[in-house]
Amino acid sequence: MFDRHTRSRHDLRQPILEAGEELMTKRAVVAVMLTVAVGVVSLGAQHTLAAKFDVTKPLTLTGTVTQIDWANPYVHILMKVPGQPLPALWAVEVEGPIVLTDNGWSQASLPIGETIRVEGYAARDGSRQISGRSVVMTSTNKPVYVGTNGTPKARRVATGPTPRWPSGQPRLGPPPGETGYWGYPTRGGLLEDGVNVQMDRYGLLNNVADASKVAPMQPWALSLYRERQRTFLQRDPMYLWCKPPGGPRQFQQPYGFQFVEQPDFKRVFVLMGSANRNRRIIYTDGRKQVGQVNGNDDNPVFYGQAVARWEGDTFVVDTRSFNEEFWFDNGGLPHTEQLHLIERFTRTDMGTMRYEVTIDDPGAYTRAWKSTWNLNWVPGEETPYFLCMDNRP
Amino acid sequence: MKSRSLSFVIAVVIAAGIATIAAQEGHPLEGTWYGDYSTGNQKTDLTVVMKWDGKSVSGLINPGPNSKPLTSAVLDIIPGKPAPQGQQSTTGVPPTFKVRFDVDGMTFEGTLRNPVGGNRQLVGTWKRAAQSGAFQIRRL
Amino acid sequence: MRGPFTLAACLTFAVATTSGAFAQDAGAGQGRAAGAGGQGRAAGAGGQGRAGGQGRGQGRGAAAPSAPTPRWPDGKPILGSVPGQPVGGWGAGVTTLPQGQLDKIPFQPWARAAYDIRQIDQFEPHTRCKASGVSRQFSTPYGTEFVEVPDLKRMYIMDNGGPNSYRIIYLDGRSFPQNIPLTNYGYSIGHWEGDTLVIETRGLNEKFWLDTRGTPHTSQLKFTERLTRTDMNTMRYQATIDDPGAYTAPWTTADFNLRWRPGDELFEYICQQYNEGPTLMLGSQEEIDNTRFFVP
Repeated sequence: MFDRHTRSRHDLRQPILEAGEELMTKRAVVAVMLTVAVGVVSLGAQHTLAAKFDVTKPLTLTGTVTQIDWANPYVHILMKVPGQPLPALWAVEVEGPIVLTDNGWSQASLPIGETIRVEGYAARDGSRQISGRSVVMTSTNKPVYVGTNGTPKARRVATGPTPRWPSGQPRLGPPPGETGYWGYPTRGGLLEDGVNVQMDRYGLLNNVADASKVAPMQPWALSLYRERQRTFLQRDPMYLWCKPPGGPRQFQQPYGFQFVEQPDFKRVFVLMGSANRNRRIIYTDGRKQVGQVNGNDDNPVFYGQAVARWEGDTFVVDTRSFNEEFWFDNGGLPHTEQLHLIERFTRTDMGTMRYEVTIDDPGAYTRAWKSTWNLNWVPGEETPYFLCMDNRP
Repeated sequence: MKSRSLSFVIAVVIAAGIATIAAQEGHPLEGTWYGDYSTGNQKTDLTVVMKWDGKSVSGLINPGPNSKPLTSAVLDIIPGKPAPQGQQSTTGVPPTFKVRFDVDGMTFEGTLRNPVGGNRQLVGTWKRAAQSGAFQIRRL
Repeated sequence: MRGPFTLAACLTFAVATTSGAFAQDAGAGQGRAAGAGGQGRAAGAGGQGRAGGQGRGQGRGAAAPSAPTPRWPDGKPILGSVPGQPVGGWGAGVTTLPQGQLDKIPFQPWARAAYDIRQIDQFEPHTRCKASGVSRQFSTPYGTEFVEVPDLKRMYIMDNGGPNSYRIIYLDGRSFPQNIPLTNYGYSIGHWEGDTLVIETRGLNEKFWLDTRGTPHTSQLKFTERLTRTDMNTMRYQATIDDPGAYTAPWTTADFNLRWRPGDELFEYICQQYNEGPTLMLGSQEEIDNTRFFVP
């Protein structure tokens, strides 16, 4: 299972390979707790470990399980750690419920009242939280919520030719009578095509010194990007306040999205499995991008105003009118209201969607630039049920 | 010894059956409560797990090898006064939620603070024969 | 409109004015579609030609005769937009589920007390950007759009406003799975009874309110909705609440009417905008007191 603990800026290691991902460079391999398997089940959601936990502060705790908050984005084990005058309640953060379930775990895997020994890292803010790098039930000496429980559910992949409408146009969604969604992106952060820089699944650079290579940023944008990277993406508005993943960011999320085409009404819905299960519309009726129908004409919005047309087998989406209240990239690359995106979706076969985005933002970048990756079709399933604010009161 | 391990087994079975769903807006007592009770100057931590099945409240304290099942648990509602017709409902007087549960020969009685809120708390006194003291637990 | 408080107030106010009589339980039953009868009556085989379609207190005055219910080639009613015509949406119509019959609802004592407190507290999860399922979808000011996708044998109920999300209604004849993970919108399966779409939903968690005023429920809830497009402009809505965790018996709401809004397109509304303060996003300072210290 790919878990957040296997990636840290402080380790030199071989890049972790996902199905479909190309090996970028080779590096010295250092003995480390790698839990990758071929045919890995699913990716963790949300954000890099280092945003919340300080990997230079390892911590070991033993305590009694008091409650398990089985909620997105991460499951927390509340445990009672002995102390004076009274025990203290700590929260152990492990993977999210979707990943845990896929790996054979459930809420019942760890009975309330059990004693556990936890190894992980302390929270940056000094609160009583620890990341669950290793969680072991002392009664059985077996791990729980880390790794897989039995045989993990195999990840579904799809093969075969691109499905098409009777007109011959490629289907962006499932064939009739079926379902599925687009997930498992092969990139987690924007990176200009042709540039070789290492970053983790959440867009965190292995080496902050590489920042200037990632995209042709203007000096103010590069300073801001560096600062965001240097502080481990802690101020990410999606992480702090569940602001939407507008722009390319929605296509960097493992829980992906669905396209629902409505040729009768000349529009395509994007139904998200990430963030807050938002919906948005891409219009194919040739309209101008002039703002929303109800109030706020031309008001810049989180997902922009999107219109699209087909060029051969490629669905070309043009979006503008973005506000600046969110990050349009997992790794925190900046953007301005001048952002204009051209996204080219090409379903090269049943299971693969090639996504190429051209970023044209004269407010933040010195020229237009492109980034490309693939999305993978997950047949027979709906978008996983993920709500960013699931665990907030 | 025998009865102790038996009660542990029963308690574990009950604990396994009590799904700790984050029941936020459901029955006010359902969930896991954490706090302490006082004996003289000394405080001892207390964990109470309660479940509502539509008919009665069941539960246990201190899940683990020393857990004890609740022998009874009752929620008593003292009616408030809804706002008169045509008046702002915010002028109404809310009902009071009183709770009493018995476990291991102790009786706990208290009142719910913020009974439908996220940080609801049960505050009151406990008694066992001649002993008594204060307790407070908050819903996790 | 800036600031979380004014935004919330704006929404609450807008719901109140759109939906007419608001949480006042006297004056029940005015304006119900003719012949709809009391609680417990299924909507039956549509309402062709019934002029009573204006329903409850919508404040729009006498309705001009409306076009008849649009239909698919197989005769089934079209519940959403009609191909060949501009898209449209359904305005809000559900006020509070106990409308008109509060004292007859078979509340368990705790549930009635919780309801009473919520009338005073009025601090609902929806205002705090929590997706709120089933009936609550039909209480936001700009309502919903029903997006029918016959190819995929399903219908989506899209939020216009509120959580800006989508509910899936499966129309492929499936049965409920054995273990349904609890979610804010639940698992919904629909089937037709004549011209009425009957939607059954299970697997609802307890993290939201069913209506703007906090009619309580537990995760044992089985929620049944009956939707009948009585004419082009009117959708009759009725719900049955079967929740042994909160009620001593199942009960059915009065009829509500949703009003068709032709030309209404879905727009973007992001609740989290300007909602960064602990008061609305994470809960008020009174409500939340270090209980959830691991957020985010």
